[in-house]
Amino acid sequence: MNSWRRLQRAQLARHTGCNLETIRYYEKIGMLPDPPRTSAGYRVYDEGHVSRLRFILRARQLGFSLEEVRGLLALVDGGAHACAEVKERTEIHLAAIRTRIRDLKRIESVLAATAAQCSGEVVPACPVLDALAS
Amino acid sequence: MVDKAVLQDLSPRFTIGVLARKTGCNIETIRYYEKAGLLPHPARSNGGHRLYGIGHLKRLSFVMKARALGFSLSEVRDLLRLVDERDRPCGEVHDIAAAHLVEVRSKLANLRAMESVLDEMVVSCETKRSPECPLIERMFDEERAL
Repeated sequence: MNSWRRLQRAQLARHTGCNLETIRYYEKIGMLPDPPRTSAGYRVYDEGHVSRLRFILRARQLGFSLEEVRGLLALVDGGAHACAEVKERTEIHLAAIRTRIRDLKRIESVLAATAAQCSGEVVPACPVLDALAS
Repeated sequence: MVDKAVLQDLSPRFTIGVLARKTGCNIETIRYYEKAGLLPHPARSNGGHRLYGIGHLKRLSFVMKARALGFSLSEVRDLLRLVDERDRPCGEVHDIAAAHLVEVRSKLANLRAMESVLDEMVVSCETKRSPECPLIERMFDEERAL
């Protein structure tokens, strides 16, 4: 933490690749703690903010909902005993992702099969529309 | 083939409750589709209740099927427009479906990437005996992007 440069919000955004608006939003909903301010009123962020924001971004990339991320952060803040619970939540999330993959694969195959019948000719015999209407 | 005459048959036959039961669609959703312009306004009974025809039923099934395939509301609206104007070339429908397929495939690729990282995280949790939680560590890890 010692060597860490204190960052302003725009720098935090650049540093993490996170949108300014998004940082503001995470602060508003309490996922990022309010940063201290300089005497001139500028927010200053430290390493703790950076790694917490990274955590949020990573979890969001992995498809965790905001509520799930909030729950994970609470476990992180709660200390080391939560490992089993973190694992359980990750497994639940993984199962949900797998369900979505299965659904999308089904959608993909229906779409691909239907589009493959497309002749590019003039309707009325459009297989895509007919498949949807049948 | 979609029968245009059937689609346009909006003569009042059943209530919103019956339409909901026949299609498995939520009553609120039916009202929403009407507001969003996906379903034509139905006739009203003397008491002011909505009365739907076979055309509504067919159109609603179409909307539901397209939604189940992940088409957005505006894509469904475009598809319905093409149904209504069936003298249009098929190419336009093909373009909408093809664009949607690309989108579905990119979502799939995304989800698969998530799946593999999550799976790896759970496995490392099971095999590693470290004082640190590998799941949490992984998400704090700066070096390894998704």
